[in-house]
Amino acid sequence: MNIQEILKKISEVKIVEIKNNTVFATVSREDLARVSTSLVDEHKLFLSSLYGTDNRKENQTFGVNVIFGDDANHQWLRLSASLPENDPSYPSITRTIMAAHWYERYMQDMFGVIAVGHPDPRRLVNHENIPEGTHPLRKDFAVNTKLEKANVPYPMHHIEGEGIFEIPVGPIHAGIIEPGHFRFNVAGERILTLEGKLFFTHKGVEKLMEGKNPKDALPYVEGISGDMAASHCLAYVQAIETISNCNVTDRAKMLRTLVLELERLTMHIHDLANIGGMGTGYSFIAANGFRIKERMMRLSDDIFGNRFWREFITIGGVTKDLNDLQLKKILEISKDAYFEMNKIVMLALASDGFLDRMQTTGVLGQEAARAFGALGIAARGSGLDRDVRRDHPYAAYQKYPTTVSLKKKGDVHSRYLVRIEEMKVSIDFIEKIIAEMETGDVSVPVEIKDGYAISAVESWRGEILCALEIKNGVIERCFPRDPSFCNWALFGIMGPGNIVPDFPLINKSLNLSYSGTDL
Amino acid sequence: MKFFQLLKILLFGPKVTENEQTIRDFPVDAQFEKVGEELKATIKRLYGGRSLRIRAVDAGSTNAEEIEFTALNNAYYDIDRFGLTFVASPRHADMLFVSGPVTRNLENALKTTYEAAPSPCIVVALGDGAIDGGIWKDSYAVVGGVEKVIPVHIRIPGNPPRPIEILRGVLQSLNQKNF
Repeated sequence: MNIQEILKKISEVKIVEIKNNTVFATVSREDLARVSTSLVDEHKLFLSSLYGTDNRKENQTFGVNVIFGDDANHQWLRLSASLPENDPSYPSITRTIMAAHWYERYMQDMFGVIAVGHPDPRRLVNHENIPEGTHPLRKDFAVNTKLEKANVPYPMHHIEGEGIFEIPVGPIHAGIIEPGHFRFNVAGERILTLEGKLFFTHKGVEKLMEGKNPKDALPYVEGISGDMAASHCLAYVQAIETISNCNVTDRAKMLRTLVLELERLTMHIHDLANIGGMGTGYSFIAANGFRIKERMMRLSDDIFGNRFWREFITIGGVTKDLNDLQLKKILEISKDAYFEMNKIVMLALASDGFLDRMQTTGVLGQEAARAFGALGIAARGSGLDRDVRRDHPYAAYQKYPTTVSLKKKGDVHSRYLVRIEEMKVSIDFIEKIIAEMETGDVSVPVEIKDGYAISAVESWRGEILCALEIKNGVIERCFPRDPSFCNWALFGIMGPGNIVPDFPLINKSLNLSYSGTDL
Repeated sequence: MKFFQLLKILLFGPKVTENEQTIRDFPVDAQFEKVGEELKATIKRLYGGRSLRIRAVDAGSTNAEEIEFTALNNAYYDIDRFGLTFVASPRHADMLFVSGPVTRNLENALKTTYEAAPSPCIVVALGDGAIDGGIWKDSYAVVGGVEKVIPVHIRIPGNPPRPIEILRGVLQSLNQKNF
């Protein structure tokens, strides 16, 4: 049953528009939570994103937009509800759909929209220093506002009892990683509860993009998360192209896919090395893995002039064409990197000590993964069969079907194996794309139109969902949802029961982006 | 069972060592080696034979800078051999590598880190964001460059700077200035 058929059964919902596999529908705010619950529970759609909009100028309302994914029918559904300006509240969706949890807290901070009955309505993005009543994404809030320094409490979960200790960690960590604060409540070595306080690197990306020409906003998109620049960029430009009815040439599509797979290969090599080396102290695999990854980064430097696969994907295609010599070089180096890394992980997987650390550590059950809306490696490691490349194909994935790697156990080991298999899928893609590369132009002129669109890309971390609205030629609202945003909440499930020294390993097995979450 | 697997790897498994010829052919980055050697001499002169200890602080970067810091430790660069080493606490540090525009939420953490480091502590602002806030400087959530929060001694531009640029920047400043 596709989305149109499902919606026919729900009389409260009104379909506004159907465009490119996306159904736009509205519902009253009272019915939003109930309809969403029925879509998720009965019709097995996934709650993929939830974001607010400020429409007070046009019709004195705030908007709440929930995006659902229908994997089987390759469709998206955006369900919107309007809230009156003087009472911006609606019944909370989180009460029945756990995946909405952070989104609603996020919206509460950014728009001052209240989800009534939210089980945990604490602050999320706004730390202690942000005064009460600050809602940066409201249209009357200027981007360069200089805020006062406040001291509003930001309480964290705390449990008491005999022999129970609290371990605070961060935001500045001992290793070279991004900033985030974690609170462990432990009895002995075992973790009882684990909570993270993030949004330290909140830079206001969404607000900075607002009112900008879509072309000028590209540097911000590439700066959402430095290690997935190409994926974020593709999600964003695809949204623009959908709005503007622009058809990218086949060659550009293939080149885009190529650079995405190269990014995936590079970062999977990094993760495989990092989980082994920094997570368990198995330095042999780290030393070799980081060396191999450096070759991939140098390859990027060689071809694109930067070490992060950036500045290639652009609106209407790609910034430059690659000649046969460059393609040959890409194939040669990435194949070599893959084979070498594969040899090394095979050695690592024969090490009992290494397996012992990974197996049964940080288990995420399939039910929990589904309830929390886990994405990417976290989902596939727990047997949740989701991959945007297959479920909502884009670029060259429309032409080449993807093999989805799936493991059932949900522990660190499963996620490790998923990465190894995906590395193989990536290199096969790279080989196939280069062998069958189309000829022709690599970019087409784009006349940017007004409108809105949703675009999804499977980055190496998981599904990026970029919701974009363009009005009067400038960005009205852009919410580039990073997969990390959904996956952070999983630590509350994966952490407890493990010992504290296993936490870094679990953390590295997901390797989430702080910058991408914090926006 | 495991024993036989191990035996199999030992006898027939993939070879872990490179043959001599490939090691000999390993491309040497002459420029990088030169900068490294000079840096080694400078550190020896300034710190009397011990290493220069660096503490990396992310003050709101996009995480590209952190990837480059990690890269400095890989086999291609391996900066430990030149007498630079990353340490786990600011209390052990001679130098802070600060990356990213300082966000409001990290202002205090950065200040505390600086205060925890023994003086004299050399502060390096790494990347365009850390120097003056870069593309982020207009945001409500960003304080601006690192110098708005703590004194900055060395500035290394780039988005992010490449490993060799990081070392070159540190070297030049150490040679010019007297901290």
